Amino acid sequence: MRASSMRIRDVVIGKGRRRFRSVAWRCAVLYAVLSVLPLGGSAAAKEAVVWIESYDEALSEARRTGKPIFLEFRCAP
Amino acid sequence: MLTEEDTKRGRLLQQYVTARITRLDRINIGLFEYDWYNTLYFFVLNADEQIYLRYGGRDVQSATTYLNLESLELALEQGLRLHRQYQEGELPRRPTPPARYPREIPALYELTSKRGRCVECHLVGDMLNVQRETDGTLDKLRHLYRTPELKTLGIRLDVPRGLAVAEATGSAAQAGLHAGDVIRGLNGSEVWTFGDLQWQFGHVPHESDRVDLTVEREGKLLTLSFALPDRWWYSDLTYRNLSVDPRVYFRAEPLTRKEKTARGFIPDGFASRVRFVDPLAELLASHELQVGDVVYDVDGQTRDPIATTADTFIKLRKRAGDEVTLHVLRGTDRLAMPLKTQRMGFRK
Repeated sequence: MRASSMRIRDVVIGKGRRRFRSVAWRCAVLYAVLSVLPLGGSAAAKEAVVWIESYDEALSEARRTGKPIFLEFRCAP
Repeated sequence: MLTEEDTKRGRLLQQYVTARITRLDRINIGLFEYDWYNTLYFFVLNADEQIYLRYGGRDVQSATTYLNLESLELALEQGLRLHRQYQEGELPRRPTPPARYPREIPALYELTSKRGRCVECHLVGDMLNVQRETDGTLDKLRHLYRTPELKTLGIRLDVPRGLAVAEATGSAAQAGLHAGDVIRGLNGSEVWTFGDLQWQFGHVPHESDRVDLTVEREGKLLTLSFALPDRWWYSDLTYRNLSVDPRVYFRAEPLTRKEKTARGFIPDGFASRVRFVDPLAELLASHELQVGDVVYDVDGQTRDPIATTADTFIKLRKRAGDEVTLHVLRGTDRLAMPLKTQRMGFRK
């Protein structure tokens, strides 16, 4: 009974790990594509846009500069 | 996101304060509410926290159907125009929605911040539904089917051109929408992007039978009245399948009417073929369904006004922890089988 349960558990967890690795790999590829997609040039192109990672800092910067805010919500992989 | 400063997009972005949020712990989700199952979503706003427009949105096929660099540039240009209008007093200040933070939602706080875990977008969606169920305010039809498909109106957009119509069929054609029209408003609210349009469309009450779209045609604004098809708000829940209790650990697809009739099932019932069984079903002893099984009866019920499959029927009509009896066709055998539903746990 225990051996059977262990086998089922091992199989299930094994599948789960493979699935997790597959999903993680796909997420990594998606992240890489989304990050590079707008580049439109070589990897050596310089990063001209600075992305602030704090909403409060973005608000302060908008007040200081008078610029509007372009706010991105991204579920990080 | 890297952007060359000499590209149009780079020049536009340099006129903005650009910010990227990957965790929502301290974000006012009352202000920045959106369908939490979008992979990417953008807001253009000002320092007074007035949102000018949204950019994003998705359909059941993909998270990126409506994400496009050309339409993003259009949105950025429009955002700058609206900002100038606001600064010059031509755009009225709108009231800010009530603030709400993730820590104020007990089910979300318990699962994330209290344990030092990140508050991810989809977790907000998941736990809002858990909290609503606890509070007795969960309306599954309203809270699950919150992003209707524009295609149900017969509208196909020319995505790179934002809200320009590529093709109008069905209700859209009947309402007089033409290819080349540009959608500018829904029920009186201005829309500048697909994200705006989907957001406004998602706020139309399910019981509505008409919706008004304002379109720009040859420089003039016209309002067209659309008849909403039956169940216009219904969509495939697959991409948010994990977002609502109970967990059933299988997914099924409806049989065709011909298949149902051939097997002696009622044509308008939810008899459906199992196409995926989650390994957790075995680990948690939830059920013993197999891929290819046909579930045609749940606790004596064989049809539902909304659900077209057995898994959707259970999700809509049962609560986490309920035990049900499935009637299943496996090959030529008819089986009765218990299924124990579960409550969702933390998921990345």
